[in-house]
Amino acid sequence: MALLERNEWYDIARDTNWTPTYVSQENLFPPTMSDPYQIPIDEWETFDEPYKVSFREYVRTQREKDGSAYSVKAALSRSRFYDQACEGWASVLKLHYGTVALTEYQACQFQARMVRFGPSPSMRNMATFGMLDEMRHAQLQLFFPHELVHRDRQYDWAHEAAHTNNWAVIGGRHAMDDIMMCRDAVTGSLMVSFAFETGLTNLQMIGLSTDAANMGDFTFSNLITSIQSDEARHAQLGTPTIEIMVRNGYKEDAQKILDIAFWRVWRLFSVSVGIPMDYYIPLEQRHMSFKEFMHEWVNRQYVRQVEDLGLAKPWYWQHFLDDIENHHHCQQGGIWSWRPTVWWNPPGAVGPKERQWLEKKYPGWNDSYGTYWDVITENLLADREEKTHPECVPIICNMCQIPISNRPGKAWKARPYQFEHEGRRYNFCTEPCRWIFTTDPNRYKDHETIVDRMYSGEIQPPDLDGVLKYMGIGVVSEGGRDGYNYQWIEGFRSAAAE
Amino acid sequence: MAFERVCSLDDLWQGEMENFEVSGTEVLLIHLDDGSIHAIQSICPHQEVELVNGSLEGKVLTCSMHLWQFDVSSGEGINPTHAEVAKYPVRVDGEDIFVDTKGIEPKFTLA
Repeated sequence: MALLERNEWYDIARDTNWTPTYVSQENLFPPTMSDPYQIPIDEWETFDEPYKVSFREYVRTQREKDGSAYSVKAALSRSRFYDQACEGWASVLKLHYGTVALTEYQACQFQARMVRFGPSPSMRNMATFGMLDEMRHAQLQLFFPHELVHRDRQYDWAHEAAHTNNWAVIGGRHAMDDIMMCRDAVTGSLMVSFAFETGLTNLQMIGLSTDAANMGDFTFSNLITSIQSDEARHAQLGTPTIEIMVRNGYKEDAQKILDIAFWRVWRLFSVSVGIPMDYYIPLEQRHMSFKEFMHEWVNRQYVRQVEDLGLAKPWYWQHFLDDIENHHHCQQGGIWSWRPTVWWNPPGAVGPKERQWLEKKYPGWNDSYGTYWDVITENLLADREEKTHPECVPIICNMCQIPISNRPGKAWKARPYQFEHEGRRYNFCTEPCRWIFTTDPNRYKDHETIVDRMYSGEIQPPDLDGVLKYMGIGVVSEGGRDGYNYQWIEGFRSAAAE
Repeated sequence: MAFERVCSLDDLWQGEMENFEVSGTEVLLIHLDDGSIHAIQSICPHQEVELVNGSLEGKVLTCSMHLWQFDVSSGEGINPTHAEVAKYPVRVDGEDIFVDTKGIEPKFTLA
């Protein structure tokens, strides 16, 4: 029997919907899990995802992709690449695997919620593929680093990070719990599929795959491309949902949902992508600065897409543009200084040539961030390594869970943005992080930052060793050290000698 | 009309595609197996990835990044169908291929 063409049967198969008779519609799709706006079902039945795939096609394509990713890995496993790779690139890999691998499993659970509670049959159908995609991504990104564990125990964080209370993990967990794990299907599809995937990570994957190829890491480059190729399907869960919300009078809600999620993901994205692009990847292999990447890829595309949907760019756009100039430079300084608290070996890597590059890409860098590194460099040149480890405790943002900081030097823009609620004072890094808290204080008020936990007595003993152990350092693996063993200061020593 | 010479037939064999800059615009020039020659926008209307890295089977071009598919003879999207790539007029004169990009902008599509 001849098979029908996909377009001859697709719509009717995909749109098949329940007509409940034994339970109410509300019991079958509780608003808190499904659609809190209670948009009529015939509106949801207009949901049409543009990129279509049948299950048969899905299985065939995914099988081919897996076959390709695993055979490239097998073919290159005898190459000496990972033995010879510099610690800067290793840091990119360790940071990526530790923050991403099990987050993919969370994304799988999130997709599963849309499979069950999505108000539109097409949405549930597409989310089924999304759920299988995310499972594949988690498994690939657990398997690939696994063979590296025997070379370097820090790769074990691919599997372990999500099970620890490392400060970087708490930040990721807070954001993912907020936008992905604890939202109804409709809100989640805007936050994850549109703001997170379409807005930021899809484009990041394109850049990361290019970086990997430039580094000669074709296993990782190919892995990232393979993962990225799945996104066309499930990232499109957001757009039709936004269109239906706007058409039914929920434009302002859609705007707020996107603005919350975009900022939440941005704060993490800047650390996990900005620092690697501008500091970890060796100068010779950098293909563009993080700022150029944001302006050339993310900003233009995101604004075009939200405007096409009848929405506006986020109200905090100016704050966001400012954050592109600052946030990841601050956190490179912070992460490097508190290097024993992370599971990779962050290279300082701000030698004379790197500083020239940073000044060119970020005019004014030397007069601001440079002053921070001047002190560190001076201490290292004078053999006072111990002075490069801070003894104070940072103030952590009660929203993004990242240390509060901003441009140093003459401008000195670091300050907390505060908010009092039910007798407790909350500190925030920026106006948008504070704004997100005020949109729903009950949702956020009970969470404690890693530093709150030191003061509240949860971390015992509340000293450096106690905190490190609490964060999994020395338990999963040793914490970080300078990735290049301070080699990057040698350029200054020879310059001084001349 | 502002046709500009891009290359000769010898530079682009049947079944091949290549990027060229024509009057300041990046154009993907495609020589199909049936002998016809087409010029389309060089980037995918989805997320602006270079289409030249995709694969060409018959007249179907599949983008390497998210597997979007286009009929290069018409410029229409095959999957998703609401997508479309801009087409530029092509003229072959003897051995030379000419393309006119005047007044045509690349297209972008939401997904």
